[in-house]
Amino acid sequence: MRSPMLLQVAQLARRSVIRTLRQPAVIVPSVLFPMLLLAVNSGGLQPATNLPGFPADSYLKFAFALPFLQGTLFAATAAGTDLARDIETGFLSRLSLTPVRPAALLIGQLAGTVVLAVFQGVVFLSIGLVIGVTPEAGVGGAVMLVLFMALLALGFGGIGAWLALRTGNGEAVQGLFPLLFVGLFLS
Amino acid sequence: MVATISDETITRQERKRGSGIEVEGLVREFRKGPRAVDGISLSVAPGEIYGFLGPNGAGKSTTVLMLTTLLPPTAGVARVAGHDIVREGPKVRAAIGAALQEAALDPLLTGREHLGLQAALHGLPKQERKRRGEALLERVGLTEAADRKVGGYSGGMKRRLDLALALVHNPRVLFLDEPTTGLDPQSRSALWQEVARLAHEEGVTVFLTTQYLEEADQLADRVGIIDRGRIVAEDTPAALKAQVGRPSVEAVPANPKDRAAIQRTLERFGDLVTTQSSAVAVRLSRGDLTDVVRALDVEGLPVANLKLNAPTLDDVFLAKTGRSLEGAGESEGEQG
Repeated sequence: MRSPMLLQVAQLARRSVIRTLRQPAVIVPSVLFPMLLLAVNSGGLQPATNLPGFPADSYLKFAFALPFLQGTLFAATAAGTDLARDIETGFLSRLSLTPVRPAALLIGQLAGTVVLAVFQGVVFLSIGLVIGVTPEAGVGGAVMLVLFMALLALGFGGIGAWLALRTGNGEAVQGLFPLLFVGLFLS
Repeated sequence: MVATISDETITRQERKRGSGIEVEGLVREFRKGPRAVDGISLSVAPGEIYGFLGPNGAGKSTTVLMLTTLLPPTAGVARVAGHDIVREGPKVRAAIGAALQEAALDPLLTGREHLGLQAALHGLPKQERKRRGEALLERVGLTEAADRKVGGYSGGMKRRLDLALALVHNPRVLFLDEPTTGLDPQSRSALWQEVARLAHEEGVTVFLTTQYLEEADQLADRVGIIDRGRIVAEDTPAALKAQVGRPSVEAVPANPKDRAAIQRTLERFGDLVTTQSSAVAVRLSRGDLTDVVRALDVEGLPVANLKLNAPTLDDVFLAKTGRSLEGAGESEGEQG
């Protein structure tokens, strides 16, 4: 007996989301850290707006896009680490003994990442509203921003999952985070 | 009068049909190591409990990984439930249930969530998933703990949940890789009872690896003893022990100064056997326990304890490999 692909994805996604929701230690830093970094940077680098040709009159508004990217990195690292842990504990072997399709396994695993990214996006936008930073494109722009975050989390999550499958080691996946973080600033 | 066969009997017969294991010349080599499994051949009949006994590193777990399609063999052929493990992996996986060496559970999920996930991935309809989950939770005694996160379960509870997960889709063949390692005697006994019931009442074929002599002796219909990747002996526990021969007699002197005299007396009945205590032991080749008691009485040698040791599977292992099973694998590689 083989369950439909969609059911398999839904079941694995449910597990991934439950896992994420039951780990406050994953959720809290992924929201808090990008906001703290934003506060520090915008406080110290405000004089940069006086430079000729600087595109904004507030560094806070200028740098507000950065937490959205950093947040997805947190989510993606969590996705890779979760998969690596499943390999280490043998849970992936257990799942492999069911008729689950490999694609369903991966997509389901990344679902928690996407949920976390959407949650981060909503929190960041809410904080933006409070401190007076709003998307110029209005509600549509905000929705697009959250969708963009989800997509980005899928992409970064895919890299994390690939590394987890290659190494089967959670520490190796966590080592990816600083690398991507530095890459973020270079971009 | 028309003879009728109950549905249960029919189900059992259907389950038994084509649910054995056939292995021929199975080999597994790892890149930087010796052959973990070195050309083993065995056959497990439908509904039989086959005990795969050996020390750590003997090749037990590697064999299970190959038979459950999680590890491709380097050479050889194996059919599980009538399907080739290399060419018909999905069919093999649909027919088997497995509880591997470490209870692979998600500490953040509850027992009930584990069963729901496993049942859904096996394609059970929603109502059936719930019914089956409840029945299995009750069978393994986890109903009360069903909604607790598995991270808080004891070792025994995790093992029981592991077994329930392996049974969720009514497998015809069940692989249990050292299922009682680390369990307390009570949990171990409960698991043995459940495994025996599955095989003898439901006709499930059980392939059980263990390093516990008692487990293989009590539970298995037949035992295969594996050492360094090769099967060194295979038969029913009783037949294997009969191959080793006669029992030994062990006497603990009541007075330590009598030890030498007791040893001389016992040597009249057979060859000395090494013991780890102050006891004197001989493998009986002449006479029996009554003759030993009479001889000690005639010589006036009091003993604090006198014991007749029937041959064990460890004696079989010793006879076949020249080493004792207990501790035999400690210095060997840890590749299952």
